[in-house]
Amino acid sequence: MSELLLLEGLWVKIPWQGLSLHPVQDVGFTLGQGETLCLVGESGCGKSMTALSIMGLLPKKSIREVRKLILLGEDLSKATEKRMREIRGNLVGMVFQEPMTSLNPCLTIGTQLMETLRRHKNVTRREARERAVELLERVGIPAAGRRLSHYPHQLSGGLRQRVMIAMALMCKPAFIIADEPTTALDVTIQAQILALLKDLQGELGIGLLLITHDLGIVARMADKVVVMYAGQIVETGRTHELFAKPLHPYTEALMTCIPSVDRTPPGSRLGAIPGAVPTLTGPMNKCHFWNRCPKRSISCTQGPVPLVSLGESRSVRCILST
Amino acid sequence: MVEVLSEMEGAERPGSRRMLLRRIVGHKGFLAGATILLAILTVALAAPLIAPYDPYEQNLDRRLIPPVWHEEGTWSHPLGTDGLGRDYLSRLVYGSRISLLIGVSTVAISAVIGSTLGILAGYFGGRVDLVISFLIMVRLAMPVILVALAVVALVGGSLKIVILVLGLLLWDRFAVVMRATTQLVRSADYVRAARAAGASTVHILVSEILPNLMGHLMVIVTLEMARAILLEAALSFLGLGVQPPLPSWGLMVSEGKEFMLFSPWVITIPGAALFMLVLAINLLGDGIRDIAAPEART
Repeated sequence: MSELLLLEGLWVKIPWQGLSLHPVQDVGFTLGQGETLCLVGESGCGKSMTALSIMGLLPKKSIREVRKLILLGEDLSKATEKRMREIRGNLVGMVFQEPMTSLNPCLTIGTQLMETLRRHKNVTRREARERAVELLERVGIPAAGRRLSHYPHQLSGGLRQRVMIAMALMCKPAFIIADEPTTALDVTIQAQILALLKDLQGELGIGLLLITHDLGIVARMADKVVVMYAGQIVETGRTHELFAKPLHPYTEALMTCIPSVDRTPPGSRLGAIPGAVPTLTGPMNKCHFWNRCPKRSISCTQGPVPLVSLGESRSVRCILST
Repeated sequence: MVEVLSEMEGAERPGSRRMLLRRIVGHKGFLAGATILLAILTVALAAPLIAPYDPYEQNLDRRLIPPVWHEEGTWSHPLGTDGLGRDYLSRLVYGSRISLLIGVSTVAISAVIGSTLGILAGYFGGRVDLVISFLIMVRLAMPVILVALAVVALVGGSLKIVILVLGLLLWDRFAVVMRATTQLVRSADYVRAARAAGASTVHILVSEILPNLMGHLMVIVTLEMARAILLEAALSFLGLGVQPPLPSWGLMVSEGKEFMLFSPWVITIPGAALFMLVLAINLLGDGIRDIAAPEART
């Protein structure tokens, strides 16, 4: 499997009221062709920030530091804004969380689809239109030709997310970043959209970086999993390994939060992790999960915990498991 | 009611064009405004065909003939004549050209200036916003009539000067409203999505943000057009605007004021015309806002 994306040593720093916030600390992973990598973690753990840094789309005041960012053999860590614009939407497609608001309400579906293609590729209107119809059909939108002249408000949430996926695919990107693509949809639609993403990925051989907080989705979709907590990677692994034997107490705790018919007897309380993600003002000199960890001990606070590699794609950041 | 219908029809709607038509037909204010404005526009365009006389031709034998509904009125001059014996209907017809010209060209200038400044301030924020907000404040501190007075005193009044002065002064509302609405739209998800699809800043401003401001823009365009037309009338009345013998409606009121006591129609007729035009434009603006209301779209 050839390497599509290589990310190493990514830091994001945001100056804030004289302090420096570190929403992403030393994150790195690789994504192969046709592979799905899931970035898991609760709100505010730095998942979306990581995705945005890859695209070079961080909010204005934040500072990105990255040791290595290589996409298809090209070093993007020092790429100019102009080059990044050529890459966005062309080599990398992006699907956002909110299909209801991610389409411009004043432009037709067709205009928005064709715009992306015509911006990056030298094609005629007719060719762009054909490609749009082809993709709309591919993502399962009936009467695709007629839909082109529709406005977003005429489409349901599920259809809009399909349009967003089609839009991300217009330029035949090498990989797609999907930031919680199904969170805003109801469960049946969610399953359809995920199945569609998986089909397309198999068919087109694109890499998929899927950001989610739902371990159910991870189990269905991912080849590799990266679990993040408070800006750091706490555990990585192939999906089946990670689910069979979670090494980090945080991963374990996440899994007990999923109610299941066999394991959760009626009337029992659902699992939850007490406490909240700590504020990330500078690197902490102890395990980030310490204050919420059921297995904590005094040795967890004796300095920063390193991410220890345990084999090809397996690693964990916990002194108890290494 | 219309919105409920659109909800019910679900995914297979019979085209939004019919919906739009239904909304337009259902809006009486819009229809009334559009009808009056269209009528005035037709009159202005077809002025040489409609006007029975040359609007500049004086006939001192036939001064101050009252309009037909008056007992001394005559059908040869349906709206009577003015103090110099010029046919009032012809002058009124040609005057509509001046009012519309002033309205359209003034707004064209001020809309471009105001929206550009407003969108830039709203989108970039920070220092750009500070500078532009200062410019808006400076502009708001200057009374239009006073500036016009000074300019006309310096270079003399003419149609061109009136258009320029008003165009360069009436951009404040455009800037204020465009700035506020851009601030709202700027952080929208679809702007982020466009950026993620590789759009440049110029593209985002012109193709993503501007279409979303059109509803608001159209409302201010109509309001400002009405304001410009009234201001031109006011300036002409004060002798600072369009110069005689051009048949401007404001100037007609001004020229008629000395005959007001015994021949009141010389000011009521152009006054009523001005009132109708401004009313029509305002109704149209209200209608556009209702029809293109953002809450009607999801």
